[in-house]
Amino acid sequence: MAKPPMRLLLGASLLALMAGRAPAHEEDLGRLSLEQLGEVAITSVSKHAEPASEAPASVFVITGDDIRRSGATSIPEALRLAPNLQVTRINAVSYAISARGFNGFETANKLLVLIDGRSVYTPLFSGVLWEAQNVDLADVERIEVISGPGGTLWGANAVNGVINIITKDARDTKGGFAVANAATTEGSGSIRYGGPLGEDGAWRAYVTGFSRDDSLTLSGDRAHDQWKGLQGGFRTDWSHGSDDFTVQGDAYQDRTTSLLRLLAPNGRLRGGNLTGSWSRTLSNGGLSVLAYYDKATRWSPQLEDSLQTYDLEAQHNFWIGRNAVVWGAGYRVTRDYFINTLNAAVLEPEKRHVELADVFIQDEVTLRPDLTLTLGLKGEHSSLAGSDYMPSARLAWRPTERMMWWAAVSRAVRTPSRIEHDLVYDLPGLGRLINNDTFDSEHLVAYEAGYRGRPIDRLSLSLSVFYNDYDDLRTNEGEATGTLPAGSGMYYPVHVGNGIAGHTWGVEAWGSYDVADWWRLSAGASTIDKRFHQKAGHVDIAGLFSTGNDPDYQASLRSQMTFQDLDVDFALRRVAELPKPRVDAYTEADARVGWRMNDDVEFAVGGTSLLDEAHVEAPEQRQVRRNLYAELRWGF
Amino acid sequence: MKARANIGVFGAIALSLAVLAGGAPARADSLEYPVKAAFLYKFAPFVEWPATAWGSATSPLTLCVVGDDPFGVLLDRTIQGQHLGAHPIVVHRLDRLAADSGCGIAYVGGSKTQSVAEALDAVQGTPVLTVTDEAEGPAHGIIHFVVRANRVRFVIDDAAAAKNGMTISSKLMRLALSVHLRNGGRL
Repeated sequence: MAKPPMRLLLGASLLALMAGRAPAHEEDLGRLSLEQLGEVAITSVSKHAEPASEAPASVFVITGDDIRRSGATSIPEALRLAPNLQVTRINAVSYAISARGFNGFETANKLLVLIDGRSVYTPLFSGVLWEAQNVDLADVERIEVISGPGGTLWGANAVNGVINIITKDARDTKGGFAVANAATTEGSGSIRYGGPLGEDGAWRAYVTGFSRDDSLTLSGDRAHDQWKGLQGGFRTDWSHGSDDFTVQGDAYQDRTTSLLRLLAPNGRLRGGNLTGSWSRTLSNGGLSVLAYYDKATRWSPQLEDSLQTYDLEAQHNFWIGRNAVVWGAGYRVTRDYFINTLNAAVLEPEKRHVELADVFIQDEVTLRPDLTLTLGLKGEHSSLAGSDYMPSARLAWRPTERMMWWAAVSRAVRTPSRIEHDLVYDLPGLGRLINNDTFDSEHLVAYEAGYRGRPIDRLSLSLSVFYNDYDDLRTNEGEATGTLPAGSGMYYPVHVGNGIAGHTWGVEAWGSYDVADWWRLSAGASTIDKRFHQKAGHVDIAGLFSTGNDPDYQASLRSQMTFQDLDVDFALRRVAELPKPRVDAYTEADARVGWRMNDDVEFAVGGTSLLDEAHVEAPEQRQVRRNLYAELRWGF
Repeated sequence: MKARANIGVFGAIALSLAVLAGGAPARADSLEYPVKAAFLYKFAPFVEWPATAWGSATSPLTLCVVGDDPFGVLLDRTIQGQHLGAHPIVVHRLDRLAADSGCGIAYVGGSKTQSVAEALDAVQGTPVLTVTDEAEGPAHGIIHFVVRANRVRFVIDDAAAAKNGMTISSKLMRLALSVHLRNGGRL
């Protein structure tokens, strides 16, 4: 009899090694639909066909089905499903999303986000422009949310977490599919069509669009931040022998539709990307290569910035003795410009060409059948930020098939953004108010431990604790030479420094319980405690702003009921108050009833943020309104 | 200075890898066969057997494993308690497949005594959903498992289904990698 062929680590989430690939336990397979069975990755890079939920890290996996049942119409809203993320809606379209603290639009700079292996973390301000990431949610296979450092595999800026958004293989999306969502504060829709490509392949193309109405100011007036956007794209997947290929691309344009465009924080976004990947199954491992090009341009009144990214990465994995080894290298070039004619805050130089090269190796050693040690190291050199290294060690103990205890120590790095590194501000008569080239990378050593298991069949649990020791965090510092009159509280010139150190610790816990075959209850919570201080010789005139504005805790509860052809879902979430600037704690609820009329048509009604007419989540003080919707999903 | 430190750490890791190499080989577990086993009974609701194939309204649907059995006890665990409507699903293991074996679904692994192609010929024209596997060779039944991009997928031969008097739902066909239609076309 032929030996079962070993297939490894292929496809979209090329670098999602630590998280594993397979979304299911053997005993869970019976629950899956035919479509979902076809999406089960049968092996992961580690020796066990371990589901992401078995990787020795704090990993939460959001499935495509969870997204459908949540009523989310955007990636940020879908990310609220992950208990290990803090998702803060700032206004109609902007979000601050972070893990393990540092929340805030400007301070959420320690989380890397990849869509099918393509980084959407912008080096301009070290964050993610969420309004530009309009993935068609119907095409999302799953989102892996890893809280904790991932620098050893993903490189710099994966300090407090990594989000991997993984879209479906085109072979899983043949035929037509359309979604239309009409809601009181927004409207959105998408249409996709796919077909076969030769014997072994398939293609799909899609268009998706949205329009979001204004949020409200505290006095209840419109905030003039309404937006609409359109995105289209394609994906093709095919195989030839032991080679698998994917080519995909997207193009989008978003803009404000407010009559008061000048008040809009951003005016217009346009961008596109093209990604190709190739992977080969070897007799003892696999080889994969990913290449992409991405361009994003943003216009707002008297401001224009643009970023082009060229990226090439390759990795090889193999087994030798009791070692599962993966190693690889990457090379990235970014070209950007930032033009400001509104005021004197400009980047010097206005244009930058940055080259980034990295090599990494990771070895998972089976010390005993129940004990594995994963050692890894990434070395990275950037022409802007210099060299850095990101080692990690992870130990996993699986005393039974149903439980795992793990512990890890990792080092992570956040490199300076273009703004932090290059921003200057000159005023005639006063000279230079802001000096540049004074900021180096921020550093973290993280200690984590966790438990994950299924004590009984119906119950799954995950618990992680972390202690993060930070150094060299960003300060805004005044230079004594130019200090304005004493007592004025004003300084100049100022520069960006590395003057904050300190630690955070916290707990992340979640679990789900199947009350009955038709009823699943899930709960999740995370806490954080922060202690930061200014290092000797540094005074932060921003008042430790860069350490974020975080709730002490957040918690969520979700109920998913599945009757014959009816899905009934409820969700409740509570976010504690934000301390500085203060934002009140809030509790919100979502609900949805979906009726699967037949194999091809589903009709749903629901609402999000139901408990209040409007509520504020961020210090920007915009009110997010209650949203009621009706949704039609149609396969043809 | 920093770069030199990096090389030092790389060296240390490389050394520790060298020390840890050797020992028991790493065993690669795979979900390939658990997924195939789940597919085998989940195909059933999307397949229509001719009315003559059923003894009674509650007679069992027999899932046969013919020849080499890659599933073992895993399949019995997977199938246990499963029904197609009022028909309980049961597993039988056979060395050879014949028209009167009583199989509703047959996973044909092939063996020394009967090749996959011979087994398929033996039930041509009778209401059996034949399932074959690329891992066992190129001979195709009505459904043929393949592994592509780390996923278990399948191709459908609807012309072969027609010969056996069976109908396959459009939904199942849409999930297939490719379909050979009964009119000679391709999907």
